[in-house]
Amino acid sequence: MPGSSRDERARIRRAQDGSVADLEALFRDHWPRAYRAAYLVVHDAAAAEDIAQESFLAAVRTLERFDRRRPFGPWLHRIVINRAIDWTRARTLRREVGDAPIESLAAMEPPDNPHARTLAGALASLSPEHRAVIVLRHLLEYTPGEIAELLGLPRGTVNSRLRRGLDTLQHLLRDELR
Amino acid sequence: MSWRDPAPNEREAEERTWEVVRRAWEERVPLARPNVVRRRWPAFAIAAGLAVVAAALSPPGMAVLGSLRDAVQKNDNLVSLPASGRILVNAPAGAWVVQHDGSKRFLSGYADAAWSPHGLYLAAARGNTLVALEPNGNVHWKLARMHPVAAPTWSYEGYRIAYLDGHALRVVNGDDTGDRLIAPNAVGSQLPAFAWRPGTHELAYKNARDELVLLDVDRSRVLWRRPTNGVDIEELRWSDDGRRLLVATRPAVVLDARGRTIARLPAQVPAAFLPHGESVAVAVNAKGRSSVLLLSGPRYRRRRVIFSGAWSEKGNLMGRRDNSDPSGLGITLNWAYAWPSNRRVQYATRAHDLRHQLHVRDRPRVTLLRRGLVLFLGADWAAPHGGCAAARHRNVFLLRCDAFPAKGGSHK
Repeated sequence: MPGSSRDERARIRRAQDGSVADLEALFRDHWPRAYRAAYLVVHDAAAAEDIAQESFLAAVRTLERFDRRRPFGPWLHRIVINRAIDWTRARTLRREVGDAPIESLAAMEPPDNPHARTLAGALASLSPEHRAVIVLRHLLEYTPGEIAELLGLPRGTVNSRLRRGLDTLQHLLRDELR
Repeated sequence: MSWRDPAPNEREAEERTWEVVRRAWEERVPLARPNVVRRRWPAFAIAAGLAVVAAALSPPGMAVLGSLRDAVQKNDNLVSLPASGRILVNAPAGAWVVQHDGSKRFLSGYADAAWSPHGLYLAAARGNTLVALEPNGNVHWKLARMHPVAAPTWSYEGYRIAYLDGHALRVVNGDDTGDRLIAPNAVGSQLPAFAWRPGTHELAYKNARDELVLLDVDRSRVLWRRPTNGVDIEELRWSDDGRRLLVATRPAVVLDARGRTIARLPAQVPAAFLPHGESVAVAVNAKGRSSVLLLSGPRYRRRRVIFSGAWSEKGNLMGRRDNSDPSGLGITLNWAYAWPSNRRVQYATRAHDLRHQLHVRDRPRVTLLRRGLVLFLGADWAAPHGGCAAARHRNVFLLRCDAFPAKGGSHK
């Protein structure tokens, strides 16, 4: 989990000054949540890796201009979630051809935990927009107001997506575990 | 799955990604920190300071400083281009399309962007994706690959795009169809080198067996191949008529269209064909002297010196290596450079001002001008058929534009 905001600000400052060690600490702090968030939205380990990687690269490219008074996490998560939604939409519109799906499947080993399969499967049945708000709320623990700000949505839209998404999940999981 | 459970492959992906992030961080162009003094000083004080410093400058340095002063006084470094048309500039955070009036559009996250031949579209890399987009950012198509995409290059009329998928060289049609593998490894230990032969769909590249190959991409037929004997090829450049191929090795070699050696040049790189001709300009640094030679004739034995250093009582100014910055404005007065005084065609400014607009990824190289003959050696051509070129030397950028079409043609 990321450290305190003061520690993080100090790390960002040192990273901006060129410290690779602090950049690595920042990366290690934020990687798990960024990757899991991407994975839960796209349900493809290779794509999640690409998305999280691109997001970190985008963040790193602009880190020197980053305003240290702002928290790093929401900034990164906004990039991750928006890219994950874009990827999922694009995937829906246009299936990849060629060798990509084979390697994607190889990379997407199912988790051992049956509950993991269940939840991941249930999430996969939601639209990417609903997945995104649920991941932001329950994995990344943002408030609905913060999610609205992150995604540039009205708060009412966030609340309704959360409600509908959770209702659908509850329904699906009840059936699965019955 | 609990929200706290690791996702599949999380740990392995973390290690892979950290390596990529670390490399990107190390290869970034560090941002010049804003000079606190400068922020507090009014503009007239800066101009006055520049004027004082200018008095002590050599003529080439004065030309640079004049441009710098222009940039500072106008409070924008790229007010307008010195010719009609647009310029595409690759920056660390993305690509910029700069209009003639200086207005800019930032295409965030794109790398290695390249104009289509008539400037209507761009091909660019975005992580593992090859993207064709309009200069206003509208994406036409994307092609996802398994490895980082790099160096998209259009064929002469825009019907083919060659690009790197990791180390593999691939070609896709301009409408995103027919993607195919050309060579599994076209990078080797050094830089990737490939080039479309003008007016054809023939692609010259170096393969994993250390051979230089010319392939007819449409027929999948190798036209010729020749060993490179393990020599690293830094760059391949065709003459505009497609009859000569400059192989930037050490020393550089000129081949004919059938792959036969015509000449070995007396220099390494940088070297370049002159526009619309087969003569080659090479930069030679020897015996403390920097010269540009124009080599011509059937065997490139005819030599003409068209530039020779910037000499003063202190010796060759191009050999200077003092990067001190007494003004604190990022002006290194005693660093190596010889700038001709034709200020109508050059724009120079501080690095941090242009950092997000101009970025030449390669090593600093010589960039020279001479009246009636313009050479950009080692600079990135930023527009097709001439157009603008941007070059960077230390913390000074140079932007030079020829007259070039403002509008594209009817094709890509």
